[in-house]
Amino acid sequence: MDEIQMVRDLYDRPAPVPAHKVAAARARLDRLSRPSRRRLFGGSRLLPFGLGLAAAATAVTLTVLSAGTGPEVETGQDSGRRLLLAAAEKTGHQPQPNGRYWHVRIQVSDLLLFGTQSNPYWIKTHDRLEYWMARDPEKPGWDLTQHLGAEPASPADAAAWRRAGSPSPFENKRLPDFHAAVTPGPGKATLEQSDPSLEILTGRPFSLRQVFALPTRSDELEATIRDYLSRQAEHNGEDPPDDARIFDFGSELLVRAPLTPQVRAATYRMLAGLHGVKKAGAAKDEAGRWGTAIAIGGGTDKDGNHVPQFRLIIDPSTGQALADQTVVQKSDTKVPAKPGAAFTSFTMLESGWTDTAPK
Amino acid sequence: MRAANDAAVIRESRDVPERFGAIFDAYFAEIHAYVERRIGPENASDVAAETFLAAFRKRDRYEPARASVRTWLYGFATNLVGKHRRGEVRALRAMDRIAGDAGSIAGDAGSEELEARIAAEGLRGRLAGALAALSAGDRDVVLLVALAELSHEEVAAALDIPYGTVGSRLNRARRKLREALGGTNPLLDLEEHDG
Repeated sequence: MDEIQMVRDLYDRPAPVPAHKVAAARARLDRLSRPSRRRLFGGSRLLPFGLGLAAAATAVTLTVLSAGTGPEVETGQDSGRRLLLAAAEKTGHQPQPNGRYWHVRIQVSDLLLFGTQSNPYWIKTHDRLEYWMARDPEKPGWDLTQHLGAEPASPADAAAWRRAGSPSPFENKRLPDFHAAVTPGPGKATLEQSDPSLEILTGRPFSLRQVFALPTRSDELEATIRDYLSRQAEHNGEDPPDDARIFDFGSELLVRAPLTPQVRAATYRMLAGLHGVKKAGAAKDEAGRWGTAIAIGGGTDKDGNHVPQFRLIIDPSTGQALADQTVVQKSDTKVPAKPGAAFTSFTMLESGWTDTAPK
Repeated sequence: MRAANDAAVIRESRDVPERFGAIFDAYFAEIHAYVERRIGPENASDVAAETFLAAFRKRDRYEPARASVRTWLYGFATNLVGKHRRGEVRALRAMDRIAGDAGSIAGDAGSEELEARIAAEGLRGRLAGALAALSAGDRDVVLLVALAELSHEEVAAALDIPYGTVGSRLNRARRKLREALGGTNPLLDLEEHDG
């Protein structure tokens, strides 16, 4: 009598896992494993080929900011708060919802580590991400994605690339059985109809309807966001959100969500009240616009792991949020990364309500 | 070859975390099947997903010399299944009960074929009941051998228990299963005790 075989026979072979369940599980892993927050939308959708490729190749990338790379001065914290509170006062000219679609055009820039183990170099890539989210939650929207181009990140990287024989497209040969290539020139734009319930923020199911329901008091707003992120974290088996996560979430809202002037002001006030917020000096975004960077986080955690710093670049004269970035101050890889480098930047180029769909 | 490749991917994923996705792609279906058989379809996707999240977080501690990546993943999956132990045991007991009810009407079945089927059902039920009655540690060993088809050495690595413990747990479990099936052979038991 073979009890083991009998036990085996006792269990029916389960049916294949439905594709959407596989995708959802993969998305949970991706949220944890992809340091680049380049995915504009949530984890449940697959990226267009070029983007997925680039994201897969991302290790630690750097966007050198023009200032704020040294240790923060004592006054960084206070001046950061002041700047955010001042931005809250500038109610700006955020349009009321009066079009059929919320339209945002964003440039995503990352630095990808390419070349070989012995001759690595950083390539800076740029992608266009554009979306039209229908105000009517029953109606579909549109996403447009396009690779805009790539170039060596610095003269030193360009030299390493030339040593490699100036391969074009840029090739990644660091990993066996993994071949990524990024073209220096722009690729074709891909326009896709998007899910009506699509999330507006990176990798989190947060819909326009939820944006419209955000409270206008900063303490209530913080409680709402903290509660939302806590539930997300619990579902993903992650640590509860710290202030850096709240900051990151608030930054994304400011950069890309259709906030009313009241909610926008409340968001700035909420950021000003977070622990460890500081001014990180003048900074130029990827579109070449100058602003002031407000930062939170960075350094190492209790296990000695590197903690990314989140930055929000705002135009202090208008209170407009220009870009949000994730910055590394020290590379975790064997390849040295420059201090003050961002592995992903989301630069807001255009946003507003429109009646015109792209198709 | 595959094990060496997997180990290389884990190593790379320490620098390039997204690389871990390749481990997911290679093993999710298999881990899901194992988890689903143990705790049912309702929570299987969650537990299977959590298996990969847990492994990802511990990827720095993976030692290729101790276990293949596949074995290592079964360790996480089995630990997480442990959190759903009550559900697993309840399902096995239900299987036993349903089979028992069927057995009680076997005499009235009327056809030999049906009677045989019902008898087989009864056997399955007793086996399920015996599995439910095993200690959690013994059941883990049995099911890693039966469902995941791990070797004793791999079970030891997956559960982080000594090799000898795997053998003794398995012997104890087999004896109980055999008793439940009505096929106890005391001599066979004695032999296995020595091993």
